[in-house]
Amino acid sequence: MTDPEIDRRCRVLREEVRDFLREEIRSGAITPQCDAWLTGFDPAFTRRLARRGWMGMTWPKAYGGHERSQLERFVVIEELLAAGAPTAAHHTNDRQVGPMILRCGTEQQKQTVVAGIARGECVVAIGLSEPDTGSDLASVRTRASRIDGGWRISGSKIWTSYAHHAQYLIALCRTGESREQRHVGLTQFIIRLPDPRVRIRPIKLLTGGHHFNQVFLDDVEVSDDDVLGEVGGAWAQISAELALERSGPERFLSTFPLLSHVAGAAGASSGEEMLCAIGELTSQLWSLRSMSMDVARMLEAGRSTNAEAAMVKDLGTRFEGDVPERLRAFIAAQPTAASADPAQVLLAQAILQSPGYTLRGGANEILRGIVARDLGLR
Amino acid sequence: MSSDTMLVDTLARLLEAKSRPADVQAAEQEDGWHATLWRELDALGLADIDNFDPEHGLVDQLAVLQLLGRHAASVPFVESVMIGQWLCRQAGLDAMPGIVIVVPLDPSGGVSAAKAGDAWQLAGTAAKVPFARAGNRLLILASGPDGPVVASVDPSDCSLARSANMAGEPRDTVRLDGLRLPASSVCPLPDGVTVAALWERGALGRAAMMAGALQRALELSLQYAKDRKQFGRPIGAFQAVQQNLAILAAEVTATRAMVDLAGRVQGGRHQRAAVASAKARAGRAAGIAARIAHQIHGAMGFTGEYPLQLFTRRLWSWRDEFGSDRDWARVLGALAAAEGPGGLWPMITAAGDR
Repeated sequence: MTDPEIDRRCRVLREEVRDFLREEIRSGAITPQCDAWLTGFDPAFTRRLARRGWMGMTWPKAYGGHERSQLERFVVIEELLAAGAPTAAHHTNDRQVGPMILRCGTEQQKQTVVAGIARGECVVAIGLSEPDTGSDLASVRTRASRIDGGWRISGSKIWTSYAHHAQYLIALCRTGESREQRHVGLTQFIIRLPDPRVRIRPIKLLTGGHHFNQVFLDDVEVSDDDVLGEVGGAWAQISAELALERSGPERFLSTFPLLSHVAGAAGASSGEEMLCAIGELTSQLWSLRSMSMDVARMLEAGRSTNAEAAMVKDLGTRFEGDVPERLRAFIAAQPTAASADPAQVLLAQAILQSPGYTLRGGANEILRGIVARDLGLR
Repeated sequence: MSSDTMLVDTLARLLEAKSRPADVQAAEQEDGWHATLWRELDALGLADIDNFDPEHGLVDQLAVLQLLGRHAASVPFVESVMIGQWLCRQAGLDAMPGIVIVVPLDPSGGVSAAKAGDAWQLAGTAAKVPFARAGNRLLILASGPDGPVVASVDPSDCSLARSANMAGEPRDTVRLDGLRLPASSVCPLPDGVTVAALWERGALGRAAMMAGALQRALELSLQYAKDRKQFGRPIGAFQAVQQNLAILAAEVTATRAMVDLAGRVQGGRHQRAAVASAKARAGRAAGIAARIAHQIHGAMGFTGEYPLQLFTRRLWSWRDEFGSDRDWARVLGALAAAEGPGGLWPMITAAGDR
C-alpha cells in the first residue's frame, strides 16, 4: 500500500513548498487569504510556481509537464490552499482544463494550451453555466451550427470566472438536435480570446470583487481544429473530470487560513469554549482530509468514486461555512475586510465568500442526489 | 494474525450467524452481555492480544471492533484485549487467561491503596465499570503512597453492583472495602503507562465500534427506505429522504476515514490528537446519524422489536464513554493550540498518509 520512495519524495516536496511559501509571505509578495484559490488572481505568483515545476506536475514533459505522481501534486495543491496562497490564475486550469485537453484534445491544442498553462502564461475560462442552465447542465442552449470548415456559435455563458483575463474560453455547446436525449449532441469548443464577436460583461460579487462574467457569443466562428474532443461527446468528457473536481482539498480548505490563525493565536490560557470549537473543527477537517486522500488513491487505482467525491464536497463545503460561524464568537470585533487585524480580515473574507462554498462545482443538493443514486435509491 | 481479509471474513460470518438482533436482545435480557459469543471469538483467537501481530496489532483490533459494532456484539473486546491484556503486557504481569477488566477506567477514579505491613489494603468505589461482571480477573488501578499502583484482584473478593448503560450493556459498580492483598499481587504502574493512555485506547476502541454501528444504522435505513411504500412509492424515492440518507452516508464515511487514520498513526507524535479527533468525529456523527435514521424509520424504528434501536442506543451510549466528543474536542483544541502559530496544518499532515 505504501511506496516508501513516493512517501520520501512527498515529504521533501512538502518542505520545499512550505519554505517557498514562508518566504513569499515573509517578503510580502503574497498575503494569506480565505478562498484565495478562487479570488486571489495573481499571474506573477502563478509564474513563480510554474518556474519551480509546480504546474502541470503530472502532465507529460512533452507538453511542459513534470511527470510526477498524483500524490505529489496533491501535496503541492493542499499546501498552497492551507497557506491561503493566491492561485486563482491557474487553479482550475491545472485541475481540470489541462487534464481534459491531454485526454481528448488534439496535438495542436496540447502544444499551445496545455503547454501555456504549464508555463503559467495561459488562462482558460470554462463556459458551462448559462442564464437558464445551472445545476441542470444538460439543458445548455448555446448552439454551434455547421459552417464550411468549422462552426458558428451563438448563445451566452454566465458565471464564467476570469473570462476577462483569459486567452481561451472553452464553451459547452449544443450541436445535435435531439430533445429527448439531452446528454448527447453536446460539444466543447476552444475559442481564442479576445474575439470581436465575444462580448464579456463583468458581474460584480457582493464583496465588490470581480471574477464572474457573462459572456455573449454572437456568431463566433471557429474551425474544426477548435473542437475539443468528440463532436457530440462533451457530456462524457465533462463527467470524467467531476470526481477530481469535487473531492479535492479546495472543497474543505477555503476557510482554513481563518481556523489556522485562530488556533495559532490560542494557548493554554484560552477558554474552554474556544478550545472545544477549535477541536471540533480540527476533527472535521482531519477526517475530511482523510476522506479526500482515500478518493485520490481510489482514482489513482482507476476506481469509480462519484459518490465518495460527492460526499467530500457536501461535507467539506458545509465545513468551510461552519468555520467562520463557529469561530466568530472568539474574534472580539465586528469583522471588516479593512481592518489591520488579520483575524478580522480573514473572518470577513470567510463570511462574505460563504454563499459560494456549497454552490460552486455543483450545488450540494445535487451532489446528495449523486450519493443517493450510488446508494441505490434512484 | 495479519490484517488480511480472511480474519475479517471469518469474523463477519460468525457475527452474521451468532450476533443477530434476536441474539443481542436475548443477551441484554439475560446477563447483559453475550458470553457464548465471546467463547466463539476466543476459539478464533480473537480474545487474546498475543494473537495479534505487534506490527499491525492495533489496526487489526480496530477492524475487529468495527465488525463487532456493526453487529452490536455485547462483548468486552475493548476492555479485555485493548486495555486489560495490554496493561498486563506493559506492566510485565503474567498473561492472564480469560477476561481481564481494568478498574476504574476513569482518570478521576477513586480507589486508594495503603501499605499494611508486607501486605496492601485497597478501598474505594468505581462506578460504570464496563463488563466488570464478566471479568475473570480485575486489575485495580489505585493511588498508592508512592504513586499509582496496579493490583490483581479476584472478582469474587469485591462487591459488585450491576448497572447498565442506555444500551443495556454492563456498566457495573465495583466496591472494595479494605480488601487485603499480598505484596505479590500489587506493583507500581510502570513508566509510560498512564491512566490517560488506557483511557485513550478505550476512546479509540469505542470510536471504531461506533463506525461499525453507524454503518449498520445506514444499512437499516437504506433497506427501510427501499421497502417502505407511501403515496404509492418507496419513501426512498422522495428527494427529502434521499438528501437525509446522503448526509447520513457522509457521516459514516467521515467517521470511518478518521478512525482508520487514527489507527495508522499509533506510535507517532500526534497519536493522541488523532484519537481525540476520531472520538470527537464519531460522537458528532452519532447524534446526526441517530436522528436521521430514526426519522426515516418512523414509529417502527423506535419499537423494541425493530433492530435499529440496538444500534442507536449503543451510539448514544458509546459517544459519552471514554470521554465525550466535547471532552476530546477540548483535548484536540488544546493540542492544536500547543503547536503554536502555523502549527495546526503540519499536525494534520504529519502522519497517516499511506
